[in-house]
Amino acid sequence: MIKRVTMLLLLSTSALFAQEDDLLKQIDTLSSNFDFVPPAFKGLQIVTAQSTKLAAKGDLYFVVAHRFGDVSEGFDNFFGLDDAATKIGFIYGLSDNLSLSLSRETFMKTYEGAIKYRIIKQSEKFPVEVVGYHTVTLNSELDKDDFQKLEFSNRISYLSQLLISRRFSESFSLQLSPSYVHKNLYMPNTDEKDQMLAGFGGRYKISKRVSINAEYFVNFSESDVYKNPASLGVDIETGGHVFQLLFSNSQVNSDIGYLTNATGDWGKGNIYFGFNLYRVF
Amino acid sequence: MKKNLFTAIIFGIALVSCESSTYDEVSDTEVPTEKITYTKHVKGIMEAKCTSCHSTGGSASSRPLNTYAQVNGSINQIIDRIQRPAGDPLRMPQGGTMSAADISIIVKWKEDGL
Repeated sequence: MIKRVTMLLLLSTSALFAQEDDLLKQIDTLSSNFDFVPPAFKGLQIVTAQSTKLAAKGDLYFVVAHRFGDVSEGFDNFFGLDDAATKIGFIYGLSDNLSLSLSRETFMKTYEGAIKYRIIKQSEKFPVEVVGYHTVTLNSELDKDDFQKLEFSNRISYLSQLLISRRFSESFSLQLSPSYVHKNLYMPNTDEKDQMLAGFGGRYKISKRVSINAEYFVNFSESDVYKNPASLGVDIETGGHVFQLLFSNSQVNSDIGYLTNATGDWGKGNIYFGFNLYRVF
Repeated sequence: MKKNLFTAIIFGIALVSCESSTYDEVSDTEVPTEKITYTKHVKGIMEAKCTSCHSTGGSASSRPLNTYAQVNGSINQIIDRIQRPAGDPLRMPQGGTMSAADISIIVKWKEDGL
């Protein structure tokens, strides 16, 4: 009897070792087949503009974002807290490479629909990650009493972006975001109907759960009124949340308004405090 | 299924026109050439655009704009705020729009001597 048990034990142990060998081999093969680099950014946004990160398949993100008023007003508006603008939205990952989103925000009572898709993933064989991003926004604030000849199409604006990022190391990533905005309704003396922008963004991880992010967009259609958006943020990861605290010279949350309606000025201290809060389901 | 949804979205976006207009082109109102007066021209605009907040019980009740004296006394501030660009949190009216013609009427009221 004892002999039998010993034999059985020996056999099962050797089988177990053999199995372990197989598993280890699998890990080796997996790593050589899937040599992709982890995402360059932890949040779907670098600060306010989009990063190359996408929602994973089946993930539903709930996002709440606030942008407060001008901090330089001081106690008059309690450093901007009295003049808050809010965005609430959802993002859903149809696949690991394609996600859709819908949101509503205070500025121009805007509804924004967006599609984001991965074109190429950064890997050992390819140096950058390339993502396409398009939004359609609807301005629901426009009133027929003020604009009698208003048609539905006048409420629409479009944005197309190519997001190109590279994760240089565990803690450092950069992104380029060439962008094109088209507005169906515009103010000719302050605005242009077609605008081209070049965006630059980056992330530097300072600890396991905290990173410093920054972004800047150059708008090639110069305006006397609107500035180039520049923002500085901190990403804080807490369980299922990514919490992004930020300062920006653009108070607008939606992409088009953020890029083309920045009225603040970093040099004069006219900047806005805000945050993005994500919850993943 | 995913392909169909994707195609439907792309077509949906393409169906909406991309032709651009200016704010002036979609507005019909003209600025009167006669002398602007508070009772005839300005009061109506204030009631339609401002007094829902700028009066007793409103969220901006500390700066009421119900009477000639109140509007007259704040005219420089009013003109500054209604002419702020879109995207400025201090732009008035908040959460609404004001036509270019209404803005011009208020500016002309000051120019005409209030």
